[in-house]
Amino acid sequence: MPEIDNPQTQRSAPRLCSLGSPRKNRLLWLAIWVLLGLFYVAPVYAYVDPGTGSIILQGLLAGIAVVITSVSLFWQRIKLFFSSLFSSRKSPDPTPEPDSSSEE
Amino acid sequence: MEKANSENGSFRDPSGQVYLINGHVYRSVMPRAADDFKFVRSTGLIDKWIAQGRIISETVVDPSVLGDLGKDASYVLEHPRLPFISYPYEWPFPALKAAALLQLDLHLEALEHGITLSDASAYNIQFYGTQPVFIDSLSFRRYREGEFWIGHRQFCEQFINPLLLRALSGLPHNSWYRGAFEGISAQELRPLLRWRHMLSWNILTHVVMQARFQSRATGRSDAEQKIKNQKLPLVAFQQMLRSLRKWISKLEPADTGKTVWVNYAKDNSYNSEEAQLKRLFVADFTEHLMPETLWDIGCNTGDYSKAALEAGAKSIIGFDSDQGALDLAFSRANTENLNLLPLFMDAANQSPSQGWAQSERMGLMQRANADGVLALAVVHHLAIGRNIPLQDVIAWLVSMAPEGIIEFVQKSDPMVQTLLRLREDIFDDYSEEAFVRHLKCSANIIRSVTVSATNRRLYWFKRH
Repeated sequence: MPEIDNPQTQRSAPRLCSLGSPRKNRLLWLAIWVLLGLFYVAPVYAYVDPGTGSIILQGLLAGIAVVITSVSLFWQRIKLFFSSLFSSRKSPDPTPEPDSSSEE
Repeated sequence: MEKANSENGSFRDPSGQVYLINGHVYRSVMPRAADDFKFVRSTGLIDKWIAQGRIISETVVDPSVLGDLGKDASYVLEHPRLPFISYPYEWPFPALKAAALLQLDLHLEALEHGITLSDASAYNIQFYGTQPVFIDSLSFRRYREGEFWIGHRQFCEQFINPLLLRALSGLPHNSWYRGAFEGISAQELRPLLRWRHMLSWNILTHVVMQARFQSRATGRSDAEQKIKNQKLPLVAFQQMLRSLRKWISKLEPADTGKTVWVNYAKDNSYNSEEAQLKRLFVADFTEHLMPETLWDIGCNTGDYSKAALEAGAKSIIGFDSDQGALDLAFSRANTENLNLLPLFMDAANQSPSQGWAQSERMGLMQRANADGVLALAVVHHLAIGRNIPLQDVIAWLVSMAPEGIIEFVQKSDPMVQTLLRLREDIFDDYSEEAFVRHLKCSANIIRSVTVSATNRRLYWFKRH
């Protein structure tokens, strides 16, 4: 919670991935992808041929959906950042309280 | 024992098959589909849809009803027999649209219960009047996280692209669909699009891009590799279905102007008193026959179908070749709650038996099961407009049902004169005397009545 109030912390680190060192992160993602690759079974449950064009298109639409979701999540984080920044000036915070009140 | 593959091409799906035995419709559920069958039924969704009339009802029966055919089946279901099987190439635009929306609505609701559809065939939908009903309950199976919409291509080919044909260019889908009964592919539709059509995101993706991806992928093995490890998140799947639903619900025919017959009921050569005489005769005939199913050949906007329904006919299948009249008849039947299904038919070129071994989709006359037939103002169009010998026209109409009404229109009638205006009169055999003579060859005349000042006459016949 204090991290959000601190603009320095916000700028410096992609907090979502900060589970360890960059090297550890890469290994973790690699492991996730390998696991996905191992366990994911391509859609073979069909007696109807889905059609390559249709599947590529759906892959693309899925990609767009993921991008939209990511962008909206990112946007929400930005909004949260600014709103917390805004509210941090308004809301009483133990340490900077005297300063902020004096500013206003 | 008759194997009813032809009912709906059910042999394509290994999950089960449809059989018609002594007038009963049975569906086998094979072991490979048994788990999905149990899971889908455990959600209660099928029962809910049956109660709503959106899916055909089913009863689990003893597999022995199928004899040897049932010995490998995990379950055998019995379905009620539909009054008539129709095909998407016979549906007018609003029927195809209603079927598309039902397919999407059921799929969306199914996904919320962890169920998906294994295909998106338009042949899985039939009609009670203008109400679409889903008939292949084995198409529902358990949804697997991340899976693609397997029926997407089929949905595009069997619903979206045929609808777009009329919505974008005013061209009815029926003839093309009948010739290519699996539907119209994106690659086929693509060259017909104009630049302005591509401003639509849905057209751009589901037609243009799909066609392009398909062309580029053909003959390349890396395409499969590219897509192998991709997933379609459930939310993206649902969003795709929802946006298609929104789009399709807004599609309307581009040719909303007058077509040949739309104003026929108003502008034809007999006045409303004569039309009233026709209605009375149709009502008398219907009250006597009390038919389960009537066929109305040349139904136009459904005027006489309505008279027959009000007189006690249970259901009517109407046929006409005019798209504008069919659209009106469909929306009228829908709003006035008439049990009338208007279908596209060129009477001189009826739906043939086609598909695999010419037995997958039945020809029109193979499906003739009407108790009665109405053929008002039809004969002259075939005998004079299309040069079909008069006796053949009569024989065809009489072969449709044991009883019916056929209207004879005199050669001097303004409508016939219009047909003859630009051509030589080669129809020496076209007279009321010849008409009666030919009709008596295969039927008794119960009653007849003159309905117009131009001596149009209705004949109530009963087949020998």
